[in-house]
Amino acid sequence: MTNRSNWDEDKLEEKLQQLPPIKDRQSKEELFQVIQKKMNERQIDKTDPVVIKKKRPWLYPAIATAAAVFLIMLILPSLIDNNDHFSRGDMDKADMERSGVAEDTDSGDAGIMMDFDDEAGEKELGGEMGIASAPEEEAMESDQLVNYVIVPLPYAMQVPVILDSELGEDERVTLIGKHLELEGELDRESMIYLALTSEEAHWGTDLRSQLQDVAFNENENSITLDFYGGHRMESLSSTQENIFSRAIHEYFSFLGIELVKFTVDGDSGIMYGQTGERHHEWGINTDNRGYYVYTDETGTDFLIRAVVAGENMYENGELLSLSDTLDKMKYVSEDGWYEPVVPEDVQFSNVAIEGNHAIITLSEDSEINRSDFDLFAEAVALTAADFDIDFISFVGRSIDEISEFRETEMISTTNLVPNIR
Amino acid sequence: MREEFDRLYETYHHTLFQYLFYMVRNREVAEELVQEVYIKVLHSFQSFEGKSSEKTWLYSVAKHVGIDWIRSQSRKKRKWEGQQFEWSEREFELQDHALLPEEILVQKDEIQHIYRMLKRCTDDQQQVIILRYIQALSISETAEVLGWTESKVKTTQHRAIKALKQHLEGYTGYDVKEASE
Repeated sequence: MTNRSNWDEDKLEEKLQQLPPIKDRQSKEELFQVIQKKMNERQIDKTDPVVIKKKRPWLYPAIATAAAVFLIMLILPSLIDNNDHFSRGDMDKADMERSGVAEDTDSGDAGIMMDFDDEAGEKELGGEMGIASAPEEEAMESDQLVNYVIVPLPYAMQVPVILDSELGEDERVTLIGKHLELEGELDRESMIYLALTSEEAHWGTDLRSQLQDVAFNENENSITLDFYGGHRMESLSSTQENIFSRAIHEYFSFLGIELVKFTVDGDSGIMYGQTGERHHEWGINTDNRGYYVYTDETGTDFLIRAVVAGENMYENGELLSLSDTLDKMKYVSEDGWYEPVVPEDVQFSNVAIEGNHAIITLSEDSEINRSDFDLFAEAVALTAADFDIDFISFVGRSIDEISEFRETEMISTTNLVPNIR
Repeated sequence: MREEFDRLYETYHHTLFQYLFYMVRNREVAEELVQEVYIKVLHSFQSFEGKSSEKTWLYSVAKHVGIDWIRSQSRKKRKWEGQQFEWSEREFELQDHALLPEEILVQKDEIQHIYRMLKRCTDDQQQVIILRYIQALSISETAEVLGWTESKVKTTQHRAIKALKQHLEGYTGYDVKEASE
């Protein structure tokens, strides 16, 4: 082969234009047949459950049951409403007592955000809320974790990337953190804009050429994402839509932002996805209590938030206390796609909160080794951070040996981000 | 749908296929990806608002389809090597073992070298070279497809040519593993 040492730029440009056209070997007719077949298969995939149901003998009893349930729902709305409002009111109050963040939140909206299934809340936020909550409901039924979002520390940036190449309709997101060297500090809007448009990011679609601006509204705790007029968000595939929706919900939920608004060249609403609907804003559930662990095919552990896991962290309409949350983190449902991060042999004998410091006492017969402790401690610290606790300490005889090798007291929870990579 | 497909095929098919091929450097993959592009376009054709030209819209759909595929290959490679999360890894390195198509093989050495060295440019540089020189898109069309400013297209184009020139000048011929079809 020749080793050219004097390539002229003009000549190179000429030569580039001479790169040959590559022809598709598929004929037009073959191509059309394949496309039509694929489109039909995808359509059939979507309608399959209905077809199957039609063939089953229990169809009519099922319809009758559904109709009965529907009638009950029609008959009892006032009772449900009364109970619902009462519990939400209590919930707000309890949350405000526990959380400084909640004090800045309008009580009505805070109530709306606390329950995925809160139909009244969805109505109050407009039609878009239903669209926003749908992926989260689907997420609870899924059994895959295939992509995640990177979340920032100070002087770090968060970007979402795909975790697994086996993309499907039921993808999940979780959060990972990545340190980046930045020249000087950036404000929150700039960090978010950078994350959304980072070359490393994967939000289901490349936002670099589409996102124009990011604006934070402190009063309503909202972020407005302004897209260019020529954006292509309407041509997302259903998989891309799914990833984008989940990544946005998880990312902004972690940042504690309660509302994401969409504008195009400053005008409210964006045509998004293949349904042809214009989306104006998505309500974000910022509640989180607890963490679990998902292990991928390579054995890498990822802490996932309870919201992503779909765990119900409420009791009687109220978010669980720190103590109850830690207890609940020991168990997952049998068909769960994730595992508890609290080892089976760990028992919490006491969880005391003194100001911004949580002292977690492990029972004497608890057993935990050093390698399990690292992930466990990270998960507990992250959990405590959601309760506005700045430091945690682990005490108890069972922790003595670990204390010689690991920090077990006054572990800071400030600016803690899961899954630093 | 047939009518729409016919029209799009007659107007854009060969250039779209070529664009995808030069992006993924594999004929079979390009054949699959071009099918995906049509599926996406035919699905969302009604919602196309016409704010950009149809041509650049199609190119941008193809670009996303191609980049998604490249990323998926990058992840597969990382998994295979047990080296997940190596952020600096260049995705295009995955194409090292891609086959040289017949159309390239019959070209002079110079053209073959250019084709081989093109993959050493950054992904942005490759995009600009493919769109500007191979696809003969204008600066403004390229900017629209990539979602950049025209000034960024010009700058990247300038750097791309310089980078490609450097790769060609440093080329010794021993490290390219592509085989012929």
